Amino acid sequence: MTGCVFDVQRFCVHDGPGLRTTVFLKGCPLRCRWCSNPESQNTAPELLFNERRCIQCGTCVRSCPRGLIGREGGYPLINRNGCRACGACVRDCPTAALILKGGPMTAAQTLEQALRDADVFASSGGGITVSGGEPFSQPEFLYELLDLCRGAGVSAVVETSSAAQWQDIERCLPLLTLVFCDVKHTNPKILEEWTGADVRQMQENISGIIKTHPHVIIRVPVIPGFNTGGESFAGFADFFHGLGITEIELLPYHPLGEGKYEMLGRPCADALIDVKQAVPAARDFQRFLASRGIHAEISG
Amino acid sequence: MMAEYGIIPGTEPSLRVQRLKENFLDRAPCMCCDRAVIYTEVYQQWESLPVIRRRARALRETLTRMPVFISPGEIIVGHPASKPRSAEVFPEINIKFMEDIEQFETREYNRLRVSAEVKQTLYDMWPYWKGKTLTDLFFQMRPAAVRSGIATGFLSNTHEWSGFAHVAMDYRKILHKGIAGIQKEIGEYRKNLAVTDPEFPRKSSFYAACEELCEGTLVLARRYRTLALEMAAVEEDAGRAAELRNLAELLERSPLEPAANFREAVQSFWFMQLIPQIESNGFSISPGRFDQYMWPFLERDLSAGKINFQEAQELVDMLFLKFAEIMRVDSTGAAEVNAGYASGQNLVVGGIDAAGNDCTNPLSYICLTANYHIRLHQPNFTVRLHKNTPADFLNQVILSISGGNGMPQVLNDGLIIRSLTDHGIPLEEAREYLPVGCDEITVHGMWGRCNGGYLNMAKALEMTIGCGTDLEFNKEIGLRLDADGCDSFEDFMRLFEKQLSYSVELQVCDANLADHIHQQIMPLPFISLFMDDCLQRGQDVTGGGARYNTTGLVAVGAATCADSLYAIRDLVFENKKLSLQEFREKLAHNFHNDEYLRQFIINRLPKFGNDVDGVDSLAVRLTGCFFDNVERYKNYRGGAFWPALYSVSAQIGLGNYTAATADGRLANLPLSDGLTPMYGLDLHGPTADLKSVTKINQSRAPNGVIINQRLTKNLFVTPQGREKMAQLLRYFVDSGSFHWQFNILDNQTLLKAQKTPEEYRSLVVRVAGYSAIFVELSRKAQDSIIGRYEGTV
Repeated sequence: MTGCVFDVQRFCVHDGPGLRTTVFLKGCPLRCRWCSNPESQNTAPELLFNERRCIQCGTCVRSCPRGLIGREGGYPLINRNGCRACGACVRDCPTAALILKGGPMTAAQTLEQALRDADVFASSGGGITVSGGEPFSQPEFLYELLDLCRGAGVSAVVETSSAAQWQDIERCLPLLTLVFCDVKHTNPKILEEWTGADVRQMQENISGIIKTHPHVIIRVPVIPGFNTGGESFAGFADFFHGLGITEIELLPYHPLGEGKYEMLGRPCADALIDVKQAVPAARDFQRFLASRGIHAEISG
Repeated sequence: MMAEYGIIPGTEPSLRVQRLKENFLDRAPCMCCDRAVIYTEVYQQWESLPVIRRRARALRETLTRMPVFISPGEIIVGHPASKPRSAEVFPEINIKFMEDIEQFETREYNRLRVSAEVKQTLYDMWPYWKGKTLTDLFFQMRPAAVRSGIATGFLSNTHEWSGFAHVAMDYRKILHKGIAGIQKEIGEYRKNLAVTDPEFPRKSSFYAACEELCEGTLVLARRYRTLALEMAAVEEDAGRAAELRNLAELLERSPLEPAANFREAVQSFWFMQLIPQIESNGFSISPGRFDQYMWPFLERDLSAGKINFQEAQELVDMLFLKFAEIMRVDSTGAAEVNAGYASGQNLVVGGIDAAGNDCTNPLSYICLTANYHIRLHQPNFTVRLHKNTPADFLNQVILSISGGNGMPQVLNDGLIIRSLTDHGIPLEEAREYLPVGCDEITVHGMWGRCNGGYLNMAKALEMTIGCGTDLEFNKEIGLRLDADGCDSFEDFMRLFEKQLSYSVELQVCDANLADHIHQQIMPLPFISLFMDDCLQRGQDVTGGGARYNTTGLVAVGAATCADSLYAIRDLVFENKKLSLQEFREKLAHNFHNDEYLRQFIINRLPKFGNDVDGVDSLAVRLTGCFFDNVERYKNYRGGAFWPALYSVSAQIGLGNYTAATADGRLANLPLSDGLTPMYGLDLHGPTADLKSVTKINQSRAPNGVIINQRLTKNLFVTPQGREKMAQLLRYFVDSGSFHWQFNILDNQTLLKAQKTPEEYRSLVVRVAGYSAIFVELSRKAQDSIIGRYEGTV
């Protein structure tokens, strides 16, 4: 079947054992304010415009079959409301200032593309990692892709926020060599406010994954002002203790996604997050967890 | 045991080594003329001697009379010039540089300070050498077609400005026999040489020259011994005085006798590394498998308790500093190719032995640490990798790379050994291969003449588009072939292959001319002493005395050409967006007012290095055509031509002569580097790069392939990153690629270094085949390095 894939990235070194190719699926039920991949949130293909690459040639104005691109000081002004992401402007753009994120691919095509590095996987003990977005937001496509991976004898890993239906997760687990699970917060109100996630669904799913799968890595994005501070740390520690989790990874916030909001024509939601605090906060958290018997690695 | 000699991240070498390095960096490179004065005198006085003996005498006189000095703290003695960090002049090779000597202190590349006194001496000797040098002979003998090819950047550099070198001598000979043993060997050959031998005149001259150089070597050692004793007598520091006396004692035996211990071996090694640098100014006199031939001496001393690992480390650290002292006077043209005071002394560790077993030893680790400690532009430092490279050694290799000077580079034993056996080298000898210079592959007893000139493939394409006429200078230098009449891309491709074939013909012609001229006026008896089978044959290397006699022929611009051919196929023949004539006009006018087209080509058409078959297959075809043509010819010494795909920094110089190319590159900018994809256009990471480059049958290029790779620092700074890096290197071995080298500096660092060079004077970067001190490079070369970082997040 066909899914919406927005990137197939080779030589990924933070997404599981060995050297891996990561498949990014579009679509996510959450709207985390710090999201560094905002182009992954909607399920449909989207048009991105990078002003820094634009040479103001005006070709896109003529390309758009619906007449939705005007000009403002030489640069294109896109009326996104009517845009159906047909890609006509992208095809004519000489500098790739206009790009389309996401496009239909079958599971077989996706696998074929990822398998260009099949011998890299074999040599390094790597494989395919499916990320997003939230990969379980395309459950049928994901299942088919993972099943094809098993057929091809390739290790498959998933990175999930666990904001998904349990039955979708459950049937994929036997196809996975490793699961990365994000835990963002344990306070229902704060979690809801910053991400839109339902804490109960998240906790139940994580608990289910841990009980079912032998290889799970819990990751916490460390977002200053959101999940930092003693109370928040304590909530995490209690949650981990409850599930018998003794090792986790911390991912300090980075602002690399900032420019993408502008490219999507959306306001940047994370403007108030203090970047400088991210690594120190991660270190605080690491010390705190150590005092509660949990080992945390800072990565990313 | 490992902990004793492994790299500990963040550690520094001993204080003595740190001070020696500081002293080296504090000095601005200078020019000396003591050698030139002595050579001029000897040449004038001994014009009746056969040239090989005249040269031997001049070298012996230089070793006897050139001022010697021992720098504070040094315990390995011997300098290539009469002052620290200085370059001697080789007037018999090239005196034409005098025309631009006034610019030496301010030119872009390889600046040299020249004192008024030195300058005056050189002006005085200039008239004698005018018309007599190697360079002059080239100008006399070169056919017109080759001359115009060189003038327009179609071809380049066949050693008309310098000696040949590019050689790995057999260092085991001096270590195991000493000069005394070699003298005995020469004596035997002389005794057995019948006066009726038809080659008696040539052979007896050769042996006489060899004998003279053995004496010269011993004189030099004696002079250092005397100097050490004199310095000891007035030295106030008792420790240093004792050190100098020990040195004097060592010099009584070294290099006369076989080395009795590691210290003697190091000193004898250094004399042997040094003297050929004074004999000719040839590049890339390479120490080769240093860890293999030196380890037995160290092993014996370690087990006898005569030396410990710290002492051995300090000694090797100091030796690594000595390599950086080797430098030469380049004409402005040669300086462009050899930017960054390159001297190409390639030292290699690790790999398999003649029997096929891994032969990594503790000295291999010590060398990795020395590179990590010293981090300068020399030696060119290489590691041989193979399937059974030990895991902890591989981890140390990565730590050594993390030092940040772009070294060691890695070579792939599997592919290279197969390449050599494919080209007629017996398996056991092939397994002992050694890179010289950048990564030109040789074996023992091979006079590889690895640099038979750089051929500009982008220019061949330019002339195809121009129907034989060059678009930059508007001169007809190629074959007059009607590209405008091509109905299909295939027709066009055939014309390109004809132009490429023609360029190989011209390059072969010049390479053979180079051999002929060097044989006539630049025999190399010292190098021949240590090269099988010169003594046996009574013939020096330039005359074909070596066991193997190859010539490397180098093609530049593979990625530029593949990307350009793709654009021509797509735009002219498939989508018919413009005609070839129109494209030619746009290139001739450097895409003036055509930024849309240029950007479209750059950003929207596939490029080599992204594992896209449509464009990679063009790279396969054009390199295959180059290989086919090169393999057709025999060289002047009866050996084969061996193809190579590297460019050192010739992609900058040749690019300077090349009009805009159909891949969107503007006129006069650098071409692609070696077999590396165009910088900034390989967007899918190192595994996709490897996929693209291994589609090319690299084993057909035994003379060397260079592929540079930019990697982010996170692969080197954490244990997790290094684990991934190790996996990547394992995959490199499996992939069957030839060579890989890494630059892990980020753009921010480089931009800062441009602004405040004084704070970055020891920052070493990879420049296309070797490493150089960044702030000593020209602005253009610096910018080209920065350019390769762009296009990545």
